[in-house]
Amino acid sequence: MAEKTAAQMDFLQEWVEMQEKLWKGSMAMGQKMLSSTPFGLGERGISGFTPFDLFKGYFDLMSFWSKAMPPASVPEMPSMFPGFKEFYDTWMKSAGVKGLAGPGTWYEEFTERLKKTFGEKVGDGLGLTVFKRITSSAEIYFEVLDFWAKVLSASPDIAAGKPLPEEKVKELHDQWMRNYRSLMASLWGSAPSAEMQDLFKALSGPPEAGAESAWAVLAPMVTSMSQVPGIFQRLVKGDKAAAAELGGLFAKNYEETMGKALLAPTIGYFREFQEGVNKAIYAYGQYTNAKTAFLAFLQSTGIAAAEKVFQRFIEFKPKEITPETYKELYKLWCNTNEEVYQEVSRSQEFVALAKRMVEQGLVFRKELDEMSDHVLKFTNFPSKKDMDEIYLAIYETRRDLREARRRVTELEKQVARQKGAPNPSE
Amino acid sequence: MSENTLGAMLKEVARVEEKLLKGYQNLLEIRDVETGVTPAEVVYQEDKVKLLHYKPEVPDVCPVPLLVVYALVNRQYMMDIEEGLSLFRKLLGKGIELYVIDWGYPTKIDRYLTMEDHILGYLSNCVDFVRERSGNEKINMLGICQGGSFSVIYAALFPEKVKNLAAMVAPIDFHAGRGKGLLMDWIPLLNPDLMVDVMGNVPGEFLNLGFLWLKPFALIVDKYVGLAERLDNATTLKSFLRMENWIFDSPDQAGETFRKYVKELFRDNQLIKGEFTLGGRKVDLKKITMPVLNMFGEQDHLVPPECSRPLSDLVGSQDVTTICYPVGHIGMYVSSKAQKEMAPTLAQWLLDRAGTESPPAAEAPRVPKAAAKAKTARSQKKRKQKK
Repeated sequence: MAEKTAAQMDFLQEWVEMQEKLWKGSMAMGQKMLSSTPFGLGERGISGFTPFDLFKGYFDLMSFWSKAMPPASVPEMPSMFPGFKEFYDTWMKSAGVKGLAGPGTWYEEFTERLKKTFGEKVGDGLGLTVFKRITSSAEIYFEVLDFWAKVLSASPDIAAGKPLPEEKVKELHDQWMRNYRSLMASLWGSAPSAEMQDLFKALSGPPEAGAESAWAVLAPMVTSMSQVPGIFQRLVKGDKAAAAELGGLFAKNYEETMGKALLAPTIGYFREFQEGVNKAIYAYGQYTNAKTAFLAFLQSTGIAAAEKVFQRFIEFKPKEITPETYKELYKLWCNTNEEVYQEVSRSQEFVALAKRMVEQGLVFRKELDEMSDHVLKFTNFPSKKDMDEIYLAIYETRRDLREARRRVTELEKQVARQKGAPNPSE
Repeated sequence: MSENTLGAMLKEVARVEEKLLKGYQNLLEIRDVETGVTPAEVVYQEDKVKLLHYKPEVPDVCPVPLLVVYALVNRQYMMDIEEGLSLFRKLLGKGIELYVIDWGYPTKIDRYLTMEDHILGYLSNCVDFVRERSGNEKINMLGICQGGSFSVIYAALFPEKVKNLAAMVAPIDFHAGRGKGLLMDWIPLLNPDLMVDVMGNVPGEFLNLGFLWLKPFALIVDKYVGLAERLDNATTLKSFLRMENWIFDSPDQAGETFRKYVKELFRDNQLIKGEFTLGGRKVDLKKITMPVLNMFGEQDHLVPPECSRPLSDLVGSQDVTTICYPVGHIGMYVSSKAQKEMAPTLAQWLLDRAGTESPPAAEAPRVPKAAAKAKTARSQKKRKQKK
């Protein structure tokens, strides 16, 4: 085992001091948070809470680092860790820490706990609101760092700034696209969206239950769903036409099956209400279709951006990996994506999909309003329509009043002028 | 990876942690930030609209007060956001007496308020109030962004009440910015009838989403990542929070006003075609014969310069000054360049035209050298007949 060098000793000393400072800072903040709690912890029903709970994840991390920092292990590290991620992983393994997969993960746990505690104890305020925005963005930031860590750890040659052979580029590219998909999913939500998955379940529920009649209605849709995997495959390769196709496929199948059923005329005492319900469900289906198509489009744009980032990354040759390298790579990711999304935002396709999503959302809301208006007309509660009529009456009264005031003022001025004017008879 | 690099990375992680911790402490102490730093008095109120009066604290005061008309989108205190970044403070320091319209926050009850109500009602009443209070037949107007469109329309309908008209980042030609600013491309495609019929007022959050989508990675991710670096500086943090507060302080848009604004201006571009009517009266920009100062930002992504510039050629005034500053939309209000150059230029322009009915003939406005240097495109419009 190599002896510690003076530089290592300095570093360790500095590190220990830093940890001590952080520890003290954490304690001070914990105390401040406790004292700023308006109702006191006991009254909020949180028994046994201490600042240590708040910073448990953080202290766990500190504890892990302190275990993982035996001075003697430092000299081996340079050869062991070609990338930041690997460096983290190996240290974590050596410390026996589970569940902390990289800077993103521990950071998430740390901030999640803070966010939760801040939200519960401190109450709303601008500082807290912005703090939440920062942590949400920082999560994305660390997702990006994790992503780069994975990429850099894929090949020591990249870290060393050496040119890559063709087969290595291809291998890296494939891995890149896999990793990038999960990164983009953290931004826009995975495709299909959670709502779409719910819709799948809801629609495929009746046939699974063996209802022959429902199956007859849903069969064409479910059959067409077999096309979906192929479309998704194209989507993940950045084929934007696939996004439009996916939206169209859902819409077409929906209208031919469930849509038809929902728009069919109904009979009976509750006909009017039932039709309202059907229309609202139909509108929701249309809205979900539009939203899925829009999100799928964003996903495919993300994949297209990934290709562009990859091209730029291949040209990116750092001499060695430093914290600055990560910042540069983050900037590369951020700027390239901004560029691609801005370009896409100008496209007719984007505008059409966004427009359709907004309009379908509005139609859904309109149907819901009409449905609730119908229900409320049997009660003494005013409906939206009633309230709109009241607002209109108030508006017209205010307008008339304003006009009347204006005329009174004018007349007053006329009178004043006439009073002040010389009397022609004198 | 070298030993030094490894150490540097560890230090970087610890440094970020430390900054975040310090930042949490700072943020925890801030429940709110004050907005609008200059004292003002409410001198007139009608429904939710308030007229604020700012008195200059200098001996030489311009005899003609300036009425500031801000947009219905966002709030007017952006012009007075903090000490050192207050356009109002700068103008007051130059002896310009200010009246500022605060449009308030429309609620459901205001969904039927029209553009007529805003311009021929509230704005017109504010103008008359200031005229009467100051004893001036004509007053100065500064219209900003959408408030610029409103002021231009008002000045065209009531030229006898406006002495000098200044427009800042005012959209006038709504089609000229297509392909340059995403808002100009997107808004005409909205279905305002469906939006207003269903929602009544158009929610501020909806509009904000549109603004954020103009630069999603910069405004949703990178802005906050960058802030993490500055979290430990309480002063910088407060400045950020003031701006953040303003950005998300978006009043809902009164439904009927939104409907007309989008359909007749954004979509049909009626104002520059001479087809726009308000309260049954046609708005003819040639009737704007008072001096006009047209200011806009070269890098404005919300109201591209192409949308504002045409005002200079469309008005009937003999005295038109056009200044393009090398800043963006927000930069027009708070950038150091705007603070150094735009405020003194505007004040001087007003002071030069305060006394006489006719403008100082063919005299170029006194613009600080820096403004002229910094990529400004100005034109002193001189009509042939004037020559």
